[in-house]
Amino acid sequence: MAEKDFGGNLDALMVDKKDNVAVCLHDVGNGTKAEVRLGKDNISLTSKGDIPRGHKIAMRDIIKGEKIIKYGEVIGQATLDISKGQHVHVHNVTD
Amino acid sequence: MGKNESFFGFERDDGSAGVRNRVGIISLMDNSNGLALKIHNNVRETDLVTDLFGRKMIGRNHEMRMKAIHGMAMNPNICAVVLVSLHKPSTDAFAGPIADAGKDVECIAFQEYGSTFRTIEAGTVAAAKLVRKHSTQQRVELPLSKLIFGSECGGSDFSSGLSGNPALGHAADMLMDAGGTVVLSETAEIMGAEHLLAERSVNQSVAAAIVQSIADMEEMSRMGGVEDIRKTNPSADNINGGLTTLAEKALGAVKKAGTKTLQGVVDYCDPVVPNPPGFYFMSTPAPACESMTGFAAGGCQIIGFNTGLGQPSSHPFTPTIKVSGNPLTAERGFDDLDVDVSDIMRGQMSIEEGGEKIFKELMSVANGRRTFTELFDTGQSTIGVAGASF
Repeated sequence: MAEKDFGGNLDALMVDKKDNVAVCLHDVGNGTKAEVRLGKDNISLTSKGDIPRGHKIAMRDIIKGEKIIKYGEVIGQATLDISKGQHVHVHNVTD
Repeated sequence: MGKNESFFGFERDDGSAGVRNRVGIISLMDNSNGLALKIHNNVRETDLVTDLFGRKMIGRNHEMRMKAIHGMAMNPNICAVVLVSLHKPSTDAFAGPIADAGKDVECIAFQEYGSTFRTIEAGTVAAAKLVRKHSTQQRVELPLSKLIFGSECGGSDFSSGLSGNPALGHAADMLMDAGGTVVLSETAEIMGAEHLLAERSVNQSVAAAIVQSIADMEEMSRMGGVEDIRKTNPSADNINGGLTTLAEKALGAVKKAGTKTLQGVVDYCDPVVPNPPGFYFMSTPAPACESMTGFAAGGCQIIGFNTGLGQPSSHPFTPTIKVSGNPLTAERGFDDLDVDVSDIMRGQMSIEEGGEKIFKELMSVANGRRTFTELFDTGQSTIGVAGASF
């Protein structure tokens, strides 16, 4: 697990308020109370599983077939139900 | 005009406006590059464009080259041109249209002298006389509608789509709100987001053009032996780094050009005519120098270049503002860095604040502030070759 190399107290960044995912600034271990920045506000959530640096964490529950929103746009759709705080990537998302 | 509605620039005969007033030295062939370099090094306040190939090019590549060189010679930052080449037919071919457009041009052809050093001497004297002649031109107040800003990214990493590109996009929106024009490029990089750009298009014809750009590129890659270029993206590296889908990767790139309506699509090195001003797309290869050469030939006076990992290039004719949103890159001492927006990743700056910082630099550069890469003179112009790179 890489050291917290930047972000300091911040664990993840959301780009757009319509997004349902955020991007982790460093490796986030299972069960971390993660601080997510959106604009000038912080949102907290607890991670469910390990999420590597640069990877996405679900900001809310996403059901199978639901669209994944990042940058305020659809980037793909869920192939499985995803819980808030879980890793969102190729194993549960398709184009 | 208000503070953010005008800039002080150099008026050109064709109605365009430069943010610099430089003599451009352009080598028309690979065999005269060495001569052009020595002429450039002999005379201050000149900018140099050299390139590879130049003779015996045929078909589409020949045409692209003609457009690129003419476009760069006509860039508004360039007050006069010295063409350096092997022989008169080549210098004359380019000089005619440049002179017709009202710009001073001198031709330096090796075969007129039969001597490397007499050629260099002639070029040196010609360039110096042009710099001196034009050095009396003053900046005048001009509207931002004359500014065309190229938005570039390269050496990307996961910070690019999160901090640097969105911040650059916000600066792009600010410029467009103030009447300016922004150009996005790199056809391969937008593959996966073209439907979104089509939806943002001002009319059906522009929407069709953006989709066609991608289709043309995919066709060319098939002809080059890459069966399905879509399948190769995101790459294994991208996936390891956290990018999940092609659309996600493309959106991260598209973010750097703001949120406005797409007004038009232009071919590589074609002029970007801001009629109306706003957001345009130029179809270019993805490598940065080839893309920035498209911007310079298209008439961009300034380029904004976001890099996550660091990337040393710029275009010799177009002041290039280097931006990074990656704290590690800034801390490592990336000396090209003009605008550091890495505080976004530290949670100490919002994307909007980062965009404002970039826009402030953009306005400053328009009014004369130098960027690091223009001071280092490390710029590189590269005219793309059809089918060679994507």
